[in-house]
Amino acid sequence: VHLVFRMIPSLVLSFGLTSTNVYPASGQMAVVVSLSSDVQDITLAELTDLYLGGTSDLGGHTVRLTEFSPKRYQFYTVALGRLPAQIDRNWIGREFRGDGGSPPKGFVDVGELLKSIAADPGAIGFVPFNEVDESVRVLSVEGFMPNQPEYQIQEGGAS
Amino acid sequence: MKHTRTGAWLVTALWLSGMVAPASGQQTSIRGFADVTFRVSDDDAENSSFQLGQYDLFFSSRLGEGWRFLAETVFEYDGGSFIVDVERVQIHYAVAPGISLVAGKQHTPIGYWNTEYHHGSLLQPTIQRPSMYLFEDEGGVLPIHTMGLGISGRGIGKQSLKFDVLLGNGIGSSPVEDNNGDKSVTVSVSSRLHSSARVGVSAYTTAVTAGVAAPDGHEVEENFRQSILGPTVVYDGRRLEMRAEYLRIWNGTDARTTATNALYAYLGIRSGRLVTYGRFDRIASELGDLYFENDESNQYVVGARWDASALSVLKFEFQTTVSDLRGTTRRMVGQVAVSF
Repeated sequence: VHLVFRMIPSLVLSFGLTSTNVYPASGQMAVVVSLSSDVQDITLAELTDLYLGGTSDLGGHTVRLTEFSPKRYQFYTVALGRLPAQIDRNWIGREFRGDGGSPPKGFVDVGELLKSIAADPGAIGFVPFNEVDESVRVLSVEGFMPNQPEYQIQEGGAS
Repeated sequence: MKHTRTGAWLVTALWLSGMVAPASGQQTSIRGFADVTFRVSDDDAENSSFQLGQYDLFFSSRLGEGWRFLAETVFEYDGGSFIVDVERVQIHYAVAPGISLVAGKQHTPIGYWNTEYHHGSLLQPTIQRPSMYLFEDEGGVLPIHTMGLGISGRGIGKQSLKFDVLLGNGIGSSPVEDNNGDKSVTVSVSSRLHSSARVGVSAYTTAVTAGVAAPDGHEVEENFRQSILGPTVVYDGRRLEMRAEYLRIWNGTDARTTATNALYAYLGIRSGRLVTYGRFDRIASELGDLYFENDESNQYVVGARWDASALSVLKFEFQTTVSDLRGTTRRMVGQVAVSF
């Protein structure tokens, strides 16, 4: 099932298909990891925890957070329910407390971001679903893939 | 601990040292915090005033495999001139993932607020610390700083367990010498309930020697032991933020023991960049306490915070303090706080 789900974005990208079973791909933000990561699904609570530095583990690897900077407002407000300023201040606080961890590294180029994630089993990031390629794995969030109507990380949507 | 202007040169030299090429593998960052406050009071003894708050310089440095250093130095106006206050100097060595040995001067890991916000006004949700967490030089009732050696854990396991065990110089000591042979012991542990909520408990004990200055300035007349115990609850949701802490402080000898209750509860509701909030503080000590003056003090705070950016915040509050000893004081306070 996961293999099928992983193939769907590629199929949509390759053939421009949107069948009755596939939700329109624009507006969804896909959470992606390396193909060498064992992680397949993530909850919004786990995403929040990762991006606030509450945990440093992602599938048995030390997490490396990344962000697609042009969409950080959309991702943080919808997926985490927090403003980017809150996320940034949280990381200032973590540094101030000596809590460790590194804040998300920003990318403005999707290709560079996907390349960075693909090379690291501990990396995680978010990109527009319609810009994902086959070099990374798209995670289901709360059990749903971005091409399903129940998927919660959509621009302008409330989770 | 207060130092003279000589200390300012030392800090400046340290700051400049961070600007030169670091040693191989070293990563040093410098951050600062500052705030300006305006206050109006109905107390005739308090003029309406603009106040320069704490000008706080923070250094952190990764020194190589497992080693980290951080320091926090505050410049503040006190007694007619600016003084330098070395608030934290900590050397960390990671002994395992998430677990470090920590040596140096640190904020005593009692409760949540004291080790969460330190001296950065930008980070704390209200203009001032809760009454129970006021700094020692502001008449605070707790040992806010401790010089010592400890072990700390952060983000351990699925429950993101956090713990501190700290052995240090006790109340009345200096960063270079303890004033008695006993060492203070602080133990703190907290665990996540879920991604937005955390609960914890902390305990502290130390021997206090006769002659030490109490928070109200009087000299302690006899040796006694102070012990502190209390729980913490923190919630940081998408719209709701809440903190509640309670500490019971026992000061006692073999012959008698008195107890002081200190607590605060904070509730904030976020709507975009705006957070409206309220906070209730209370400190109540018993008659005949060996260390605290006999008082019952309640503070009520209602305010709003505008998160202008990650690095700047505006806060406005109405504060009412009701004290058995000092009567009732009402204040309007505004603050702009930044990090740079």
